Amino acid sequence: MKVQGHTYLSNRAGGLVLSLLAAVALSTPLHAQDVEAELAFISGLNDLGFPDYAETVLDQIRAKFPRDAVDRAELKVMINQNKLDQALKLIEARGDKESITTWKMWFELAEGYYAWGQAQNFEEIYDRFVKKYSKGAPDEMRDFVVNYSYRYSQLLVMTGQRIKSVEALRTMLKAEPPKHVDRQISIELAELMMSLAEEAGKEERKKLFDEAETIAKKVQWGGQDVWFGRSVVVMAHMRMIAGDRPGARKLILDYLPILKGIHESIKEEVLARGEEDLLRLTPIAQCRFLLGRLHHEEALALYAKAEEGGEDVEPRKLRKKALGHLIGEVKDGKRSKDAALYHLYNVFVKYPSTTWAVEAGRRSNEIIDRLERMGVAIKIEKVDMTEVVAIQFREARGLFAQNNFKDAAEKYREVLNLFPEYAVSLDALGELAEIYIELRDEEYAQLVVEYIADRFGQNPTYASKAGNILVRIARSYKRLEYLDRSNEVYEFFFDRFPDHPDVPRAIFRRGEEFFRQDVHDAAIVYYARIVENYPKSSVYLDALHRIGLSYFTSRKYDEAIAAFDTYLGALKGQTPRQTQIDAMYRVADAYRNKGEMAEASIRFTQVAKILQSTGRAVYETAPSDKERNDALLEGSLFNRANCYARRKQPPAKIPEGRPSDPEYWEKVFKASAIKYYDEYVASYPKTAVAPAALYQMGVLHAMNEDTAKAEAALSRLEKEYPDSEPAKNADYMLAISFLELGRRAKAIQKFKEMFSGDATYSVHQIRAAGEYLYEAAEYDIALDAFNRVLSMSEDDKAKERAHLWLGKVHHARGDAQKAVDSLEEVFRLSPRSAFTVEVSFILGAAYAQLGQADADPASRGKRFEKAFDAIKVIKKYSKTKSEHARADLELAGIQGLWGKKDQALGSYMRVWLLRSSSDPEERPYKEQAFGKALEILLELERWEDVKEVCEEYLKDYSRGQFVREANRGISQSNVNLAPTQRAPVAPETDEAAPVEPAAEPAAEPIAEPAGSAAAQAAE
Amino acid sequence: MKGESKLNRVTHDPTLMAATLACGIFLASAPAVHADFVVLKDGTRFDAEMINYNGGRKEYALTDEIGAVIRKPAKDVIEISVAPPPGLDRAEGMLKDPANFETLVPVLQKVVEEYRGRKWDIEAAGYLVEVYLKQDKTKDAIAISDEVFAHSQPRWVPAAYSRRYLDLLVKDGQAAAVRKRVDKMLLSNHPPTMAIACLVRGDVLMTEGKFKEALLEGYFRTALIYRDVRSVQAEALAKIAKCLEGLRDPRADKMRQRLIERYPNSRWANEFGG
Repeated sequence: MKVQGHTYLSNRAGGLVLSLLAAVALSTPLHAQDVEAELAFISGLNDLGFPDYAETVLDQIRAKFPRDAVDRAELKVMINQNKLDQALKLIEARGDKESITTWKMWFELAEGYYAWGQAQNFEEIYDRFVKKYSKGAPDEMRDFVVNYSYRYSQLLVMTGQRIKSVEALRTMLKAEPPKHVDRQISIELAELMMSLAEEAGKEERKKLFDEAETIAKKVQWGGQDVWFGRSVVVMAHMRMIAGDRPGARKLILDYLPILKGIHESIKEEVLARGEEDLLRLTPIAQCRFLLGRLHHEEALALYAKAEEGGEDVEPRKLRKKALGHLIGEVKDGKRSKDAALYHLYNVFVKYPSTTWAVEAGRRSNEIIDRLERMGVAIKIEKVDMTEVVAIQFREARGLFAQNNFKDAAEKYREVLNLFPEYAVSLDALGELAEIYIELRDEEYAQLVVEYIADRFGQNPTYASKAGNILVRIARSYKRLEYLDRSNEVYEFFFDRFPDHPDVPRAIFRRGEEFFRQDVHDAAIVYYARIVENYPKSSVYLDALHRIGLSYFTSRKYDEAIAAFDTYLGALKGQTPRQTQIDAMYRVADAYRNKGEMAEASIRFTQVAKILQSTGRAVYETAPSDKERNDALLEGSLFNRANCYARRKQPPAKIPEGRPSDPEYWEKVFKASAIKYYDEYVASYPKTAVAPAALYQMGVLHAMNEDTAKAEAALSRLEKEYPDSEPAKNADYMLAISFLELGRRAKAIQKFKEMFSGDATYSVHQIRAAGEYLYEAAEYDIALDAFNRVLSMSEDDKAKERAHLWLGKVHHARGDAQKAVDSLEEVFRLSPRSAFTVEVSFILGAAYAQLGQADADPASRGKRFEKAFDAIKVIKKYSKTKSEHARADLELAGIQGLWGKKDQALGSYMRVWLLRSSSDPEERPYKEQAFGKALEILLELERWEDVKEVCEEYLKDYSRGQFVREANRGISQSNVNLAPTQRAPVAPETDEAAPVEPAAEPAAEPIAEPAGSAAAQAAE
Repeated sequence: MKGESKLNRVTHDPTLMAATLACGIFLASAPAVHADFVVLKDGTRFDAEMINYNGGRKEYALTDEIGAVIRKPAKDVIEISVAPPPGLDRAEGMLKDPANFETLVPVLQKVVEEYRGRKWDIEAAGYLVEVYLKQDKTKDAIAISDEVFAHSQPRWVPAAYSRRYLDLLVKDGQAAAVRKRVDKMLLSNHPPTMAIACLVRGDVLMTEGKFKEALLEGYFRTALIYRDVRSVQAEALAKIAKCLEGLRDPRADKMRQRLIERYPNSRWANEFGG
């Protein structure tokens, strides 16, 4: 945020402007323009959100420009990155402490403080500056001092610090600025004092009036210029405040000829310079405003008196007199122009840039409304306030910028009540909402959000802007990490502004946020909304692609294949693109992951074919596309070979003349695989997987019992890739290959050889093998691996790690006691183990299992207590939200195993209610908590709760893993919550109901108990 | 005013117009013109009875009212005004019909030659470029532009023409020529010209796959330093977004959003927007 630039120059008429500009031009160093452009470039990059690029420009500046420029550039970057302490040090380290450049840097830092919410430091810098030059400034600094001091005083006025502004101006006068500057500052000082006096007590008011009057008179002795005119107005205004309306009017009317003369000379200046804006300096505007206000207040006083009535009051006469004040008295058949409406309306129309325009317009409208109510015909229209309303929000914005939220909110409300329906009001509403967010006042923030939608959502002029403001509010919530609220505001926006041009993109972005955090079920919901509702938006195809990608990453391969097929179908007739190839590749990979090797190999072959053809160029618009396609081609060729290697079943349709014998086909596929691996190695001899391909060739030859070729492949491996993992770790690789090719027995045999102790494998190699086996759920052999690691480990650190893995494996095997033993060993070896949280999770679960199985109540309780202790340790040491959420879930699980169903339910519900589905870290645990809580709620037949949580779940997890359970839960609760069928009972009434002839015997007038056969039948 | 010249009012038949042009009517009054002036670098305006230009020496010869000739180096002249070649305003209309090309080309070439360094050569060259492009003569279009630009201040060249010329160079693979021209344009001290130069510099770098450089040396500068040159802002934003996409930078989305918000009706927003 930038401080508004009010400079003395911008407020000044006459020759001073030119003389100062000339001075600046003379003092402009060589290449200053380039420097300024580069500095502006850095600022622009920072403001645009590209500080990284700003850094690069900074590097360029360092190489090209002198020290001053480099310092200023570095300062800009630091300020933008909120490194204000560094910025301060940079300035303090400068040698020329009193130079203009150094002071400019100070002011930039001041703005930085202001923008980052440290208004106090901002003021401290300016205060120091004003104080420094309060007794005079060197000649070369004079204009600079004048400009910046003035700028400061203006800012103080803007933020409502008028007393301090008075002090700043007084100090400036003590610095003896040039005469013309002295006159302007004097008069502004008098005006400020007058405005303070208006709100002051009697004594203080008198003191301020006296000083202001002295200053005004001093200015009047200095000549008849713009400041003379303003001095007259100040004096009149003070009389008016003191209640002397006739005195005020007389003063203005006495000086009117002089004021008109001043006005005329300003008009000439306007004509000569073509600067319409100079008109705002005319004293006539304020005089006429004052006259209008005097008449208006006279009229209001008379109307009030007429209303009050009284013996000596003639209401009719009073009202007539009041009307004269409003629209002018009629004399000799002509209406006088000395009236409230005439003066005020003219101020608004002729001097819209003056500070009195707003109030003049408001009062004009008030008078017009009154006249209409009275049935008085007038020929003028109400004024359009749009341009000037913006000014009204200035003070509120100033307060907001200083993070003075409370006062800012009050000010915004005040102005919004006066001007509720302008474009600027809409901006102000957005700012007000942000203030409430900062003040944590959710209720009011929501009120504002709804108000924006209600009032502006259907208005074609404002709807788009209103939508943008809601998005801004949602982002503010997100910035402050109120993710649920952010989500709600976004949903509100999507719901209330479905045709807003930004909605598809905003929905897509929501999807992207979840996608990036790997919360794919939530991401898909957003992408699907685009696909369903915005098929013409520019993100439609991206959304389709993302759906496929989300399913793929979630390992939901069937859904991924279907989604990518839809995407590829939608691309027909469109410009080819790289993502098309990407989608095709992923479909192939999905089949591979599903184990459908036949289909996968066909698909990989298709992708490879396209990418090996010259036609691939149409899919590549950027160099990165080419890189990506190169990678996909390589992947396709490797995977094609890999799929053939893993194919076992004969083709669905056996080619003519070929046997259907599976063994025959397995050999054929393996031969193909060998051929394709060979091709791959030939095409990509230097890739990381080339040795693995060569190795696989060896294994496949071995499996085909072609020993000579197997040995040839392996010796080639050793020769060409001596440092590769397969070459160095042949047995391990062989074992893995066997496992992956479905030869489990052979694989186990190989692993056993590896862990037997006869072979010379490092701890690292054996541990890697163990981890692989653990992931492949081959726990028994994994145990051998980690036991071997343990026996080989010499230091405690290695042992600690081995015990952790042993604990994991034992736990996975269901041997809780052994798991506990291993894991406790971790803490014995290292009480402050780096694996504390990981160990505690397993330990808690293992103790709980032991407790559950223990029949002895005393030891059972102890075991569960240990489980709880483990959770406490997690809570103490875990740093992430996801770990905390998981710990809560574990705690509930332990309570459940202990049979404390109510407590477990409470814990699950706590996770369900207090964790956020909008927070990617917490979302999966919240979902798990739902699944568990639902089981217990169903068991306890708490149907109302079942219904509520299930409905809530479907809202947040419409594509979650428990959708079926939630729907079933709702149906069950509907059945159980349905009102029991009762036999009709006669209404209670004092009068006897007319007796209808019964066609059948009347039913027994007793309600059936719920659940009875009759009630069930009725249902 | 264009389209209201006497010539236009009387000759509506394209064949007749072509014939008239062929007679060299709009070259009739060629180099000597009246009420002409130049503005020099220091801001002084020099009114001249006649302004001639020596392309070899890159020098203007200004003849004053008493016949004295003052010579000024071309680099000192920042503005020039001479009376237009009669009938040139009709060339634009004639471009619509390819049947006129044969007649039009030599006439326009003559204007380029006769008015070298005196601004009207630029307008004539602009028309010639249009003809050449319709005739698929990219090289000729580039050559005539090179000829004209060599004798003109970059700021005199309309932005659209500069842009078209640079695009042609890019298309023709003349990266070095583009750079040279862009560098010259960047020295023009004329923001619209400089903005286009940055934009095209970005285009060249983006074509080379240098996205970051394209952003820093091209598009960001256009968008930030020359933010007042409104006509190129939408394009700059669109291309920033494109480069960021190329760099897989998620801020691309933000830039696209900005494009749509600020220039919702531009063709760039239509291409990139929602």
